[in-house]
Amino acid sequence: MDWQGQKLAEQLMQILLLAFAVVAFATGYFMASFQMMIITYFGGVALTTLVTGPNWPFYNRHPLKWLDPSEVEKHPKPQPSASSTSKKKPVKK
Amino acid sequence: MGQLATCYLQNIITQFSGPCCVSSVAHAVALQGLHQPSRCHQPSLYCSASPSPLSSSQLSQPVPNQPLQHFASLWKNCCAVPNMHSFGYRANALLTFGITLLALMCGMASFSDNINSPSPSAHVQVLNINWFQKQPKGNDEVSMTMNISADLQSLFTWNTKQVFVFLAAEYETPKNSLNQISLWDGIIPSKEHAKFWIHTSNKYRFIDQGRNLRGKEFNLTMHWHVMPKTGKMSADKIVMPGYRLPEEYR
Repeated sequence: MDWQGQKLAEQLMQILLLAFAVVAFATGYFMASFQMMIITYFGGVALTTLVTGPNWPFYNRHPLKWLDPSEVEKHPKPQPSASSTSKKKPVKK
Repeated sequence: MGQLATCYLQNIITQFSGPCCVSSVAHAVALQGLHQPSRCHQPSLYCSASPSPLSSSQLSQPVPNQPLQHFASLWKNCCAVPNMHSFGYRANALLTFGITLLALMCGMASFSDNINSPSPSAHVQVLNINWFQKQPKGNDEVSMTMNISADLQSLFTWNTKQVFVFLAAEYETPKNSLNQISLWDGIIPSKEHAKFWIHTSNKYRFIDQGRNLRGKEFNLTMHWHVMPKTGKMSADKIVMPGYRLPEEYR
C-alpha cells in the first residue's frame, strides 16, 4: 500500500464506520429494535473490514519510484570502518 | 519492532564485535530473515540514517534457519511496524474506532430512554382473606386471594430488556415505621406481556414480625425495576392505599 493508498484507506475506514453507525442507530430507533441496530452495525463493520483491510490494487496506484540498484552501485555508501570487518574474520572460522 | 530493532542490534554488534561475541554475530545472521538487505540500501524510514553496519560478506551468508525466515517474512508482511500500514495496523485502527462508535451508539440509545415518559397503571383487588391466624411463635400470618391487573406497556422502549415487578404490602407498626412484605412478583420479558391480569393467592407468605395485623390498615404497592439493554437501571412504584385486615383471626 502506497502513501496515497494509506490515506485513502484511513479516510474510507472512518467515513464508512461513521456512516454505518448513524444508519444503524436510525434503523434501530425507528424499528424500535436494539437487535436490528447491532446487526446493521456489525454488518457495516464487516464490510468496512473487507474494503479497508486487504491491500486492494486501488490502494497501489501511486507507487514510490526507487533508484535503480545499478545507480546505487555507482555511488557506494561509505563503509563504517575497516577495523570492524577485520575483527570479525576470526568468527567465521 | 522488527527492522528498527535489527538495525539497533547491528549497531551494537559492530561496536562490540570481536572474538568474544560469537553468539551475538550468529544471532545477527539469524536475524537477517527479518532484515532484507535490499531494504537497507534504500532510503527507507529507519535505516537510511545509519549505513548498514554488517559488511556485504556477512549479508551474503546463507541463512541457516529456513522456517525461521519464513515465519519472519510472514510476521513482516502482517504485523511488523516498518510496514507502517500493514493489515494488522489497519485492523487495529478499525477495531478501535468501531468499538468507540459502538459505545457511543449504546450511550445514545441509553440517552434516548429519557424521551420516554411512562404512564403505567396498576390495580389490585383483595377478593378474599383465606385464613388469618397467629403462628405458634406468636407472629400473625395472613393468606389472601387477589386480582392483580396492571398495564406497564409504556415502560418498554426499544432499549428495554425486561421489567421486574413485585407487589408489596406496606404498613406501619409501633416498632417499625415501614414494613414491606413481598406478596407476589414476576418478570415481564416483553411489551406484549406488560399488560396482564392475574388471579392469585399471595405467592410469598404474609407474616408480620409480631401480632400487629389485626385490623391493620395497609397499602399495596406495585414496585418495578426497569432493566435496559444498555444504561442505568431505574425503579418506580405505584402506591394503592386503603386496604384493611379483619379485626379477628379466622
